Amino acid sequence: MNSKQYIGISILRISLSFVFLWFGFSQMSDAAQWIGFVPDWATSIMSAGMLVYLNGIFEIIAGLMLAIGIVPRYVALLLGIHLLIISSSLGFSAVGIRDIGLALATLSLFFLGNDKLALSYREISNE
Amino acid sequence: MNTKKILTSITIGIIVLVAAFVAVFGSSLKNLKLDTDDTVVTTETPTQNNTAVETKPSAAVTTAPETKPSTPTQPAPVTTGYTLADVATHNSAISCWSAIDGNVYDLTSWVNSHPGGKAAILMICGKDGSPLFNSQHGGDRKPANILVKYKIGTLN
Repeated sequence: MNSKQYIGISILRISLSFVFLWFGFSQMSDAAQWIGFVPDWATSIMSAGMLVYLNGIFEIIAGLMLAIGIVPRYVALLLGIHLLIISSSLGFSAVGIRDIGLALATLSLFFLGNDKLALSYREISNE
Repeated sequence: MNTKKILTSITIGIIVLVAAFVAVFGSSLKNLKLDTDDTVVTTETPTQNNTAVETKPSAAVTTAPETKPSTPTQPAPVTTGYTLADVATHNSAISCWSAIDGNVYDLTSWVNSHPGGKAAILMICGKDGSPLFNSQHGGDRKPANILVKYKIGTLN
């Protein structure tokens, strides 16, 4: 892989990490605005507000790991699946389609491998 | 793994973290500051100063709802009534009010958050949104629970 391709992966990873961090902070900032996105089946587990808070914490931690590059492939896999589950519950709305695109972009990080700016990058064995 | 590489990765992570934090909470702090200024102008005596949230004035209390910027994080408490003419002045994404089943709601901050897309909310800005809301969500508990958070008054 040449250096330009690594830059592409770095940009993808860092920009997606910003998206998840923004989502996470936004959910912590005002959970009420996000309650509408919680699927009905999830509210049987715990209250929608608590789910939003926990989801926010998860996205902040995972987003930060993605930004720093701590096992970014596996974090991206987790976040991608996580967002796919959320977007599937939204259906083919404007928000749902956008989230599916973000989820697939995040999943692509898993297949692309680590970039050189990632903390977990190894010069010889690139995961 | 050398120290320079570790520092670079961590620095990038912290920059992204701070940028996202500022992007979310920066606007909230700005709104809070603006609202605090409004409190000085429109209220005679501040009541609760324990927390920032409690010092936020309502759109209704300011008595000038047409100039009140939307506060996406804190829906105003219900204190007064509005006419359809009042509602009609808030007919855009910048300030979106709607009358639904006898109550008035400030949906400005919900426009971009609505799971069904913002177009559906923009359709009811500045008007009686009861028919559309009830046709889409009538009898559903969750939309009603969300809606109540945006209530700013009743329809006269």
